[in-house]
Amino acid sequence: MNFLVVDDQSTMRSLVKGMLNKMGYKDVEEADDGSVGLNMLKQKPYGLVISDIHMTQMSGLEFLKETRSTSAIKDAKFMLVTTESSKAAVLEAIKYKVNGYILKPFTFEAFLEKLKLLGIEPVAVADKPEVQAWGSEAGTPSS
Amino acid sequence: MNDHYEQKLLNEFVAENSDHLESIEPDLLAMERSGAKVSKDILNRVFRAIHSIKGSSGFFNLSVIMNLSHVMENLLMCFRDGVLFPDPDKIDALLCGVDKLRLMLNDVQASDKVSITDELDRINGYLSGTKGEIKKDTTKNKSNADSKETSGKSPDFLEALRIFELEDAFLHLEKETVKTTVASGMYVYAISAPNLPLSDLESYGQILFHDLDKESLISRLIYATAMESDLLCDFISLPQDKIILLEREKLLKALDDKSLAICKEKISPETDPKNQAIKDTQKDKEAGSGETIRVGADIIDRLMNLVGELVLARNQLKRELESIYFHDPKVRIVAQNLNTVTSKIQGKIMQMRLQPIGSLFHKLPRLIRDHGHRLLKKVDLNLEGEEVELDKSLVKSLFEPLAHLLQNAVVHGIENEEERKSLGKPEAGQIIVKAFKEGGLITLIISDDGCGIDPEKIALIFASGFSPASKPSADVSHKIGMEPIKNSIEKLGGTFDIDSVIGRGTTVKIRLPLTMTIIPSIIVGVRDKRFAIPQVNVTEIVNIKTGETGRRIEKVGKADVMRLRGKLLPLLKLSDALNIDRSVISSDGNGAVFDEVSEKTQDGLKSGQSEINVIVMRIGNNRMGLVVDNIFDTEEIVVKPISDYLKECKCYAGSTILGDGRVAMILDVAAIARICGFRFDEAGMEEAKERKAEEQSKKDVTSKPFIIFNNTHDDYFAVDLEGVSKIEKVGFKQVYRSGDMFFIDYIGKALPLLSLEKLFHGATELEEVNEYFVIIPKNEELRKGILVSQMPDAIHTDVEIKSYPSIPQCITGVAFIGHNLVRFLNLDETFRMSEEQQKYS
Repeated sequence: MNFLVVDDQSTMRSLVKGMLNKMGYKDVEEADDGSVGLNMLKQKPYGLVISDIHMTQMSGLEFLKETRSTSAIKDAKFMLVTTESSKAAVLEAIKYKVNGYILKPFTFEAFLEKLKLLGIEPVAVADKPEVQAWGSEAGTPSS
Repeated sequence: MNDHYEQKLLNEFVAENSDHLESIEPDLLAMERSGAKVSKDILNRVFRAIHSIKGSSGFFNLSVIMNLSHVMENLLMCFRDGVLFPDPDKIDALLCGVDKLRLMLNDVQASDKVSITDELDRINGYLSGTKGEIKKDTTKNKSNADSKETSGKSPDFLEALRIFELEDAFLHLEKETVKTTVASGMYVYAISAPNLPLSDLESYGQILFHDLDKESLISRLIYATAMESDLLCDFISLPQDKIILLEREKLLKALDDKSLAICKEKISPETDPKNQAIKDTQKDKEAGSGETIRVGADIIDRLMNLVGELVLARNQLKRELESIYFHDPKVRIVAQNLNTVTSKIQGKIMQMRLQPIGSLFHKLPRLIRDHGHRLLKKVDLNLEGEEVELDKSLVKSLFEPLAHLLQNAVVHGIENEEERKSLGKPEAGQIIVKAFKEGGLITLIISDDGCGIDPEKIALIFASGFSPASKPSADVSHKIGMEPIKNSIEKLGGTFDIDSVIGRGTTVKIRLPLTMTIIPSIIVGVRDKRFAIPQVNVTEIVNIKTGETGRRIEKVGKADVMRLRGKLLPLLKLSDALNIDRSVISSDGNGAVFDEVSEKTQDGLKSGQSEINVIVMRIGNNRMGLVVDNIFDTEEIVVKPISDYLKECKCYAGSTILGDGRVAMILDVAAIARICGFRFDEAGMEEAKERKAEEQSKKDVTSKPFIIFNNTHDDYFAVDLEGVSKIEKVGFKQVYRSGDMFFIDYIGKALPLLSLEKLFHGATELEEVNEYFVIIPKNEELRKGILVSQMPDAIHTDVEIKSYPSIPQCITGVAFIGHNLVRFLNLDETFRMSEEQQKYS
């Protein structure tokens, strides 16, 4: 499965990417703004888009709305990274059929839980012992 | 490997959040200024910045940073909700918080050991005044990860349904629909409550089952939505116990058991191959638009060095090609192309290193504010030219001197409020920091409208080691020693001028080169040596022709000076300064020629007959002329740092390789002037004294302006400036004679002239000098001019004019001005006397 991580903060992108890597997913692409992410999404499908809600050019919410209103990509799985302070935006996102949202800051466990809701489970990677450890927590990974 | 990754991530975290902190400070200050009318935009910006610090620090387990940013965020939230107002006290607390955050970010590893209790207590003090909401927030935040497990949790979902009398609902649920909603990541809740906003719920999720108890108007729902339980409670304003989160696995399993209907699995929409169809044109268009890449500064520095080498190679190649293949058009085109490309690369890389000076400016308001608060002075800071870009290294190293200057301005320059009021100045001190580009230079102007510095003390504050500590400030105009500031600016290749008017304020002007490593220079020669002088220092080049040297160059004491547009310019021979004498044997066989040159200049410049090249240079507020043998060309030179064993030679700023492959030293002109004992400071003090004396004399009522002049007999006379209308310059030939009378043609009329020679010495003939001057009195009835043989000068003086009974009536008195005895004339009496003389003659 491949992922698209959209955030204007490179630290956040790296973090989310790191967590996905930990789960055993290596195919992670990044974009630093909603508009960039939208274009990437138009190019090819992603298993999941994880986007921050606050971005300077195109916010995560606009990105979501654009995605949902573009027929070719309207069914893309979309998760928003939000903050406590953006409840209204989250509600708006839910209206636009966001598949999930996660509050910053989140732990790896919370992240795992959220992805599990979307049917995304960690995959085993043989040469990474720590993934085994994580995997045991989130259900035994199939080898 | 993993550690390395974490470390990299942590570094990124620090870099990013340090940027955030930089941006917060000016915004906080803006909030302080606007008080209750704080702009939403600014508040949101600060909020977001603090929030992202809090957010990302959570990931790295930097609990102290997180805790501090958390309370700061809460305080900001109160501002936003209008619960609290951002008064200066609270902003101060936030600023202290920002300082602490910065401290911790500077050394993240040790951040856990930093004590933040003061900051926390202070901010919590403000918060405790508001409702308990915020406290709740903290706990909620901590347990964020497991909150949904605890809230709305139920041991068994069937039991849960029973509580809400929804057992039957289960039978009506469509397995297919439930599966789809679950697959899209939704939670499934059981809700039982009156007056539910059903249509709203429908738009935020999917109502899987709805049962309305008509009597009590209680709706019982099975509802699928992406909302988490706390958000849902918020949304429909229900307490947590009115909703139950159904465990998805169990729900699905139960549905499986219930229904034996076989459902065709629909392909989930997530990977629709149709999406693969893409338009290449669109891809091309969108790719790379507005993207940025973070590149390490060290890579750019290395690139910069390489470009330096490239420029050198180009210069060398250019020279070689020019001498050999100049007439071959093919080679010329290639050479030209290489030339442009190199220049362009150089330009682009320089551009990479450029940074708007705004990043430096943003730190200043805080500085001003802190000093102002401490001293209870109101100060407005106006920043102009934030968009001006200059080399990154310069931006960094400019902070210290700039901070120093601003501190001086606030501490010593700006007066306190009452004093300002009484002086009729605006209550708040005005400090302007302005940056602009001027040619290849960046000019920075820092001006205040404070009390100014005594001109006599300007030289003093530049004296090394001067500081208020060594001279306790009885006088407020004392400033912290400027020497270190000036030195650091000069080290950056810049110049530093200060200009101050007592009572009006002080203006400091700093000029800096845009970039430091490649600079346009003038290549000069002394004997067979070549030197590069940065063009920044050069104001003009004066060539004194053979034969004119005697007239243009004068000697004052031992030193040579040149008269340049009425001002004296001290001269320094580069060969003397660097001790290059004719015993140096020229390496390229031109020794004889150089020997000849040195012979001529040996006995001082004045006696020399050959032409002289003077490079007029600006060193701070002063100017000096550097005498060189040859001036070759201007060239973009690449500055190479001077090697260690030459560091002791203070007169060089670096070295470079010229186009012809020769090594040339780059002259540090200011250092040379210093080494050779040029004491501008004293000259400056002298000038300042004169200026001061002049200013005072203007105010002084007893002092009067006079025109002072002398005749061919070198008698000095003075007339009151009040009585003079005009001074005309006339050639000897333009003076007409009629009998023993002299006339000039003045506005078409013959104006009779009074000759002082005749009046006092009885001379009847005019001495033949190149030019005469005619002083024309204001009193038109006199209808006469005074013939003078030397250029009159205007002076201010309050000397006592002594009168003696023995002197003629036309002389009001005599006095010594300078070393000359000056006779002060009464114009009316003088003309009357001359007429009488005529009558009797």
